[in-house]
Amino acid sequence: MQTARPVAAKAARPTVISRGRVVRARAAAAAESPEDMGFKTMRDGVKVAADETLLTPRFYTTDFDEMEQIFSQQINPNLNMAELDAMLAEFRNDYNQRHFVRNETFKAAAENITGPTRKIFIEFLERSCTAEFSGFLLYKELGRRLKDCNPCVAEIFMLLSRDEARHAGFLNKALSDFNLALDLGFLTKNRRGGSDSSSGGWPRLAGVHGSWAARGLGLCRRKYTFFKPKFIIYATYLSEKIGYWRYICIYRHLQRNPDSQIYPLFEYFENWCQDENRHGDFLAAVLKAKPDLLEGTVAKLWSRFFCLSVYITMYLNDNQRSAFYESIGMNTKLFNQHVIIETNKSTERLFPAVPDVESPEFFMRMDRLVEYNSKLVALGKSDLPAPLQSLARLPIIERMVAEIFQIFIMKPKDCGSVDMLPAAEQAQVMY
Amino acid sequence: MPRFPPPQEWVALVANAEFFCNDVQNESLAEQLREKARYFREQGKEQDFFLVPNPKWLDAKYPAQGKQVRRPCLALVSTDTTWITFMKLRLDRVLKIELVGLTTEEVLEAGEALPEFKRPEIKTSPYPWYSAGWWEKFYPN
Repeated sequence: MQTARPVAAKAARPTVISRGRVVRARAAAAAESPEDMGFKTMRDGVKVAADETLLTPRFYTTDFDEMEQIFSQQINPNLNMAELDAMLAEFRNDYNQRHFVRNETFKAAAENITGPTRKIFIEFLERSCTAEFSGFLLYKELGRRLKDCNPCVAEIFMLLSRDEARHAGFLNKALSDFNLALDLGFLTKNRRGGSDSSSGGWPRLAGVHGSWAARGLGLCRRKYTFFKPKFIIYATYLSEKIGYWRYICIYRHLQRNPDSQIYPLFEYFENWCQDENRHGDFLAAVLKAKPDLLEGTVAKLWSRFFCLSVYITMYLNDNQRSAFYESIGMNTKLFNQHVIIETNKSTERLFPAVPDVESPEFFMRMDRLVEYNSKLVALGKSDLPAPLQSLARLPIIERMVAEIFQIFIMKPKDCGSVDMLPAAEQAQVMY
Repeated sequence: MPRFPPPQEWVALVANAEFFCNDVQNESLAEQLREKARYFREQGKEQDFFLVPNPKWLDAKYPAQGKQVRRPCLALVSTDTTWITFMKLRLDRVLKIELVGLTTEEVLEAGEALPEFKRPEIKTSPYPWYSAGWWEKFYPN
């Protein structure tokens, strides 16, 4: 895996963008220009987005050789091909083939979103688009690498990347309603490092998405985070399932409160998030093919660790941006709590242990984390000189670490798929 | 060559009705079945899945498995065994029964109707429950 930054790209742009995402403003008459909204601009019409922090969506890479071993039928006797074939059939149906078609209401709705709400809307779209695009890249690469060792799994990964490309493309189109577009295209060049020209450095996107991929000639130099395969599998399972719950909650809330439906994007969420849910199911099948990830003390610790990482990241992220959810009539905290509780219940059907999120202690401590985090954010925006800021951060970070540790040592719930239980115990957990 | 196509084999996923109909976690089943029905309409295919309340065959033909299932119960049945494999992966806490040798009429024969479920208010939920009875749309005619 080559993650070196492209030299040409580096030379072509000033260093100011090295940690940010670049969004290109269209020349169209904007309701508000990026500058008006307080976005940093690096030159006319190109804005620099927020700095990358621990909580921003990121891009992942992994050990593809090890992945090949997981999916090789010769090497891994635990592969349940019946389950994987069933997933492939489900993805081939392509339920949403004709779903992501925009209508004429988008543009006008976007123009009616003004002031601070406009800014947080753009941020939401940008983060969502980046997250979907990140999934696209990872799945696409896995699809390419696994072609020889397991054609079924390779095709599934390709179909997952098809879905993610659609989602990212749809979000990028939404950004264009706000006279902006994310420059995503350069990324693939970034990771292929020139050794493979089979796709010409561009993600091969079908249909309408080809246009934005080809157009995206700008820069988005993002570091790739390396995760070992087992961690990628835990983390992507959780992010797909939590993605489903987030989208369906927003959808159902707006379905019943149409006055808060200020932008038509959300009307697409019900069908959209079925994709996420299915992706999660596939990753569940993958986890089951690695029983060492679902059984034993170490597996339990990692399971809880990944649950908490995903829940805490979302809780801090969303509460930091509660204005967005309020703009569509939601109570951010309750919404997040519901998402975490239900995601945890989905995960109980698979992971050997999960945190007990329904214990009152859990959200009490999570809320303390939110308070500490907002102190950190406020510090970052203060006028204090940088060294003093760092110093002032330390006690807050110390409190956060202590709080996270307390959450981690809370009594967990033992759980797991019935398939992993001895026959005698199966009936106890179900039916 | 057989003169008639072989009789269709059905597969069922059975669980108590509360699991299917009265658990926020499984409201996604309503979305899935609607999506699938829509897909079948678009493809011009005949629907090959149903929900059967308190299926007659459970106690009549599968008494041992029947004992494991709390009542009232509901069965998701389909002739698409591949899809059922996927649904088992999704729902996990359901009992899979291959309805070997049963006719379509036998498979779809329902028992007692499901009761009305008490639906507790969930204080974190940003939306109310799906309207009770969504499952009846997927009963055999």
